[in-house]
Amino acid sequence: MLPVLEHDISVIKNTMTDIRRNCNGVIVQNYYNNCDDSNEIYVMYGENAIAFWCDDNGVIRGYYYASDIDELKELLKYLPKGTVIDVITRGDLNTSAFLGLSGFCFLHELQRFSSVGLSSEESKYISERIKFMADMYKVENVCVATENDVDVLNDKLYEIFDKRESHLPTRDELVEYIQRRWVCLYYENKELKGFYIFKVMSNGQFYGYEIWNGTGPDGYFSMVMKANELHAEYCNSNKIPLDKIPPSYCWVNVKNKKAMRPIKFWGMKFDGLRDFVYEKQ
Amino acid sequence: MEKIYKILQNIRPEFDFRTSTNFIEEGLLDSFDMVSLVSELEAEYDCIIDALDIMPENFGTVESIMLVVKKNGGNI
Repeated sequence: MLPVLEHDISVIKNTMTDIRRNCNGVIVQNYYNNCDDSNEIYVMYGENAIAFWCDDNGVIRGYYYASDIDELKELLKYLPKGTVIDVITRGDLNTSAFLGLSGFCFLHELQRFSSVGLSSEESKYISERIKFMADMYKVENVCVATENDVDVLNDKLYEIFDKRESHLPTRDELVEYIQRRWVCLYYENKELKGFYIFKVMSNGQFYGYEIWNGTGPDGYFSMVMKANELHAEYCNSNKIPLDKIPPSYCWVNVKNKKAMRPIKFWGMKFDGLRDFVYEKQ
Repeated sequence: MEKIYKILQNIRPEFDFRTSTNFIEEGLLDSFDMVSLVSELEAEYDCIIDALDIMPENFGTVESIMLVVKKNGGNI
């Protein structure tokens, strides 16, 4: 059985619709309008299942849509070694247990944290904590990244983070974030000790994208403060009213205790959404 | 319209959809929620929403959601 090369996602979407029309039970899927811009998508077609994959910045990412799980299990066996599958769910690991039977190995669990539903008391408590910690903000050590930092940052990103787990930016995207002033750096004795990359959605929503802190709490706190300033600056210059910005969010690997602690410190809460990451062996 | 608000509220109870002008742009719904919403709408209005119609533009407001349900044969 050989994959079919498709150049347009709409062909695949039409197959999804057909599967849905013929389905009397439950659909299993991990497709959320991904790879819509890709013009090289490899597809394994079944009668009531479809599995496909495309390149995402050097990572092969796999997707599926099926009403027949047995057929899906067979199709998934044809996905190339190293294909990464993300299963985003409000359920538990069992919801994707069938992947293990198709040669996939569980890699990571990420959870989404959000500042949704922060009570006024919690907000007040956090503001007081920030005031108490003001001395930790080492203004002189933190700066906004420039295009001269691109190569160093790009190397660090791919050295520190697992590109299968994190959807890392391409070099061009990194340049764009720097130009938008969405990246700040932390130095100690002229040595890069941390970076904070965030994204701002069109509605002003803050997304904590990739944060690396290779030093103590001062470094982390300083970068957070700087990122908050840059976020406000970006919203002001784009005329986004600060009081209308939706709550911020981020994804964290549940085993990354160093990341988990500060996120909880800022009052962010697990919103129920999990991402189970698998890799084809 | 009320039914749709109820469905939306069940999906993301923490948000007030009635005061929003665009659920997607304002971050009330993301792509994962959109897929959950489609399943709920299909069950409620007895239709199958074409996968090509599952795009942010069609889920920004209650009115646009009603249109996409109708377009796909929903009994709305």
